[in-house]
Amino acid sequence: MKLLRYHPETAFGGQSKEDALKSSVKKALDPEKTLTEKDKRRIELASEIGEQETARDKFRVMCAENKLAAFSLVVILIFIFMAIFAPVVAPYDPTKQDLIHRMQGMSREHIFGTDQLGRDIYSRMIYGARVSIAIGLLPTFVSILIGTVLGLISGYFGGVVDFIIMRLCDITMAFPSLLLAMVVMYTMGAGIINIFLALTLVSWAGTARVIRSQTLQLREMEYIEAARSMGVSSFAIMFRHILPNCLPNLIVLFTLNIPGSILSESSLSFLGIGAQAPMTSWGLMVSDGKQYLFTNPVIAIAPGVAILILALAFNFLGDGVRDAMDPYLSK
Amino acid sequence: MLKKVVNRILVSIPVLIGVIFIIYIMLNIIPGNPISVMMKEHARQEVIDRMSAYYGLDKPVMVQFLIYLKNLCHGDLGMSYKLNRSVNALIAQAFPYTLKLAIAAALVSWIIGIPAGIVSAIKENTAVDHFFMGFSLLGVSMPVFWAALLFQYVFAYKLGLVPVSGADNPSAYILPAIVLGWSSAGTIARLTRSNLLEVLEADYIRTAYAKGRSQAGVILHHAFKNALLPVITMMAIQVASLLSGAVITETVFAIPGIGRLAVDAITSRDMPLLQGTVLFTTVLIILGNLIADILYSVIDPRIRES
Amino acid sequence: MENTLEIKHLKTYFHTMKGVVPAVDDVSITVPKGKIVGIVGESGCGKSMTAMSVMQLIRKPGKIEGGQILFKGEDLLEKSEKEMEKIRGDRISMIFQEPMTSLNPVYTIGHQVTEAILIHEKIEKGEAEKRAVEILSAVGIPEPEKRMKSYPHQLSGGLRQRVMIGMAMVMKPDLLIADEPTTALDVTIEAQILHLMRKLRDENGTSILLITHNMGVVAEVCDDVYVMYAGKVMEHTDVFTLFKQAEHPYTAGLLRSIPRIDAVKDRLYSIPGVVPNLLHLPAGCSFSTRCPYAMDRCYEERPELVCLEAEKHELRCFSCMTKFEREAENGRF
Repeated sequence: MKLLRYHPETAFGGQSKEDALKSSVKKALDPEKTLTEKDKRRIELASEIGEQETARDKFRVMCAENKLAAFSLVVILIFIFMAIFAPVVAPYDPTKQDLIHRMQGMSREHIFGTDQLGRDIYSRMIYGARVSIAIGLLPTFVSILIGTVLGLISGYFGGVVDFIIMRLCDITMAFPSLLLAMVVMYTMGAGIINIFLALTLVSWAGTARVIRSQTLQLREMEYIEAARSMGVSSFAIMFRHILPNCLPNLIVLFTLNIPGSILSESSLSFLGIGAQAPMTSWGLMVSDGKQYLFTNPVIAIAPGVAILILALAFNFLGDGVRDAMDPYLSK
Repeated sequence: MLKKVVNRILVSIPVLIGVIFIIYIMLNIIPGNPISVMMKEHARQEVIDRMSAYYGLDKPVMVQFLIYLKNLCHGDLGMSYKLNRSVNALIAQAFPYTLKLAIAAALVSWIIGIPAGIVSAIKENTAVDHFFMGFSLLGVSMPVFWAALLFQYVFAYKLGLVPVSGADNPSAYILPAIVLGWSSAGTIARLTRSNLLEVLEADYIRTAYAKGRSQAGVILHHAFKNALLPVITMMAIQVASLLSGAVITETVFAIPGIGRLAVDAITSRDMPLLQGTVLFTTVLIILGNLIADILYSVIDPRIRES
Repeated sequence: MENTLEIKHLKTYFHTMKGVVPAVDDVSITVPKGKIVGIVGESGCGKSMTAMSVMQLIRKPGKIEGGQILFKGEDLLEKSEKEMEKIRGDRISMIFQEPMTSLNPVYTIGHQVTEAILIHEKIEKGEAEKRAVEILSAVGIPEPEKRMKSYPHQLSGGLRQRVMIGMAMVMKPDLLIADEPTTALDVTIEAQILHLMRKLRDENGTSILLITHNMGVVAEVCDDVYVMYAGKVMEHTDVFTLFKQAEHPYTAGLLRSIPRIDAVKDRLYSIPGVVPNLLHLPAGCSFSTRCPYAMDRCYEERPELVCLEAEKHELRCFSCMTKFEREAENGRF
């Protein structure tokens, strides 16, 4: 007697494990049949296996397992709080000059001392957080939005559209990003709105590539094929069926792109082509302080520490989010 | 193999053309005569007119672009408005400084990054791993200008070990190389670690252990070659981006390299110079990516043979 | 008869964040010299972990917690890592399920087979290459000299598995552990590979521990069979008894779910439910949640492995025992 193949995946009469469980639970829940001890146990088992991890669960697990990511999140929230409530939190007016008390060291009155014009460095840093956080979040968000839409279109439709979008990506990514941002600032002039535009313009391409390749994979999935054969519109397939599957990736991209934005803004401001006085930005503060580096290093160093902490916190959080979203990606 | 290389080179040509086009558009859409923008209000109109004619700015835009393209085909990047020298000469003068800095920084980043990544992967989730990865993330997260200033203050000013800035003395390159190298060492270390960890999970690693290889043997003979493939291509891209001018580092340490040239071009609103430096550096990056791809297909038999 | 391998009360546990997973729980397996012994069970029942424990290639967070692994009378668990390296690939070899990924993609076949020799023997490289060609032709690879220069991706799955077997057999080991060697292959290739393994056993007297979930493979080549479920041996018997009168409801379920040409049925039988989570095993018998014959006692007490017919047939099941007792009583009257 020659026995044919036995395969565990198909051994359940072609049912998937979940289906087998569901039917046994259904049977167990049938009111006409009294529940046996065995059925009760099956229900317990089902409830245990049926536990699907939601995004919120993943987030909870991340916070519990990755203390550093949780701590980073707290740090970021504190920064955001300080930025929003800057007028309340800051002990002094950030623009108020006090030439008598200029270039003071660290003291009780002035935590980080005062700058060359007698302005309180700590208060200026609190106001500077507004620029850094806004720049960290907004252009990143918008560039991800643009990248997602272009990536979806490129991957879904393919052909000429795909070719054009991908060559645009190639071109954008061929530029050294800081230099490209500098060229944009040169053309449009310094200023905060232009930093938004410049940073959005240089960073959409990476997202577009990631989303395109994911769309290419998802497009071949059976449920997408099914939706298409049922006459669901391309728009609906892209945004209702493909996009939700890209979300974990997008969240990871978002968190991991934020520190880059923050650093780029501070670099542009440091070079004098970003935020302009009287606005305060950490990069600008370091730039102002660099001429007093050897006499009063705190002026230049303290705002830099703030940039470092915020960028570090977003990087740690981004790593944590990535690990939580897809444990196979990192380890 | 050769066909693939030729193919890959052909693909970068449209990118190059697109780059030239986009830079030109971006720098020439500013309204007004670039000469008068550069000279601000205090120039007399006839001087502006004469200079405009000298630089060919009195011609229609399309004609200007065609002349620019024609010169570009001869490798001529034009004349700087401000310095009245050819952009080619200015770049040629600046590039050796950038080259020296890039090589020094790349060496620093490899010497720190690759061993750190390897040790972290082997000692995964130990204190050593956490230390190196924290160090790497610090390198990735720190603003380069801030680190540069901090190092200047501590090592040059307080301790007097090295010059504060300049480019005349080899020791002047130590600080900029460390600052720049540290931030790219972070990327290299993280990539090395994650690749090595991924490779160590592979089935053929299990096979190698089953053959009787020791841990060191497995890592040296079986994991390294696979894990370092992507790192090597990353290194090619990294060198290209270091060569394209460490704008910030060169500015802070007063190194007259390509990045510095670009910043000067922006502050003095010297359009041809900016256009030239951006084009030059972008070509470097395209070349770097090209070399990385070719390198990858040379080392990896899966791509080489197919 | 001399036993090549005797696993006694082996316990391999995984210490995870969520708790201790008993992947291998008090497993005893004997592989007599020159025999092919099978371990069967669904995925995740601890088959592979048993094999990896013998090789001592258990990775963190796994740990061998107790028991003995006697290889030709010597306890492998008392060997140092250095001594184990000498044994692995030389006296005990292993082949794996995924021939597509089990060979290093960046080295040639020749390099990888000669490597297996050179690790254990200090001989000339040319000599090793000659032996590599010999073994490749012995495992039925056409044009072995040419294949030596090939990279794994240039070979088909069947050929790669032959290379794996050749690599494992090149040192003429006493024991070959084959972990699902044919699962990833076509049915025709599977038959060839099984035939090859049996041939190598006959020629070299190598004992083979074959891990599979495929009852067909078991019927084809095994002498002795251990049925594992949730980290425990449920039933152990020789292959003829297994197919003639398997007692354990789980074994019976596995056998019933084989598609057969001679049986006309609407629907293939399937064991209801899934393998329980090893973190939360049922209080009683681990199969109780899926067992059609489960009694109250099965939910409360863990059954022991009981020997029937003088070590020939071992069984871990209350309902079977009850049945035997009843039969015995009936017989008495």
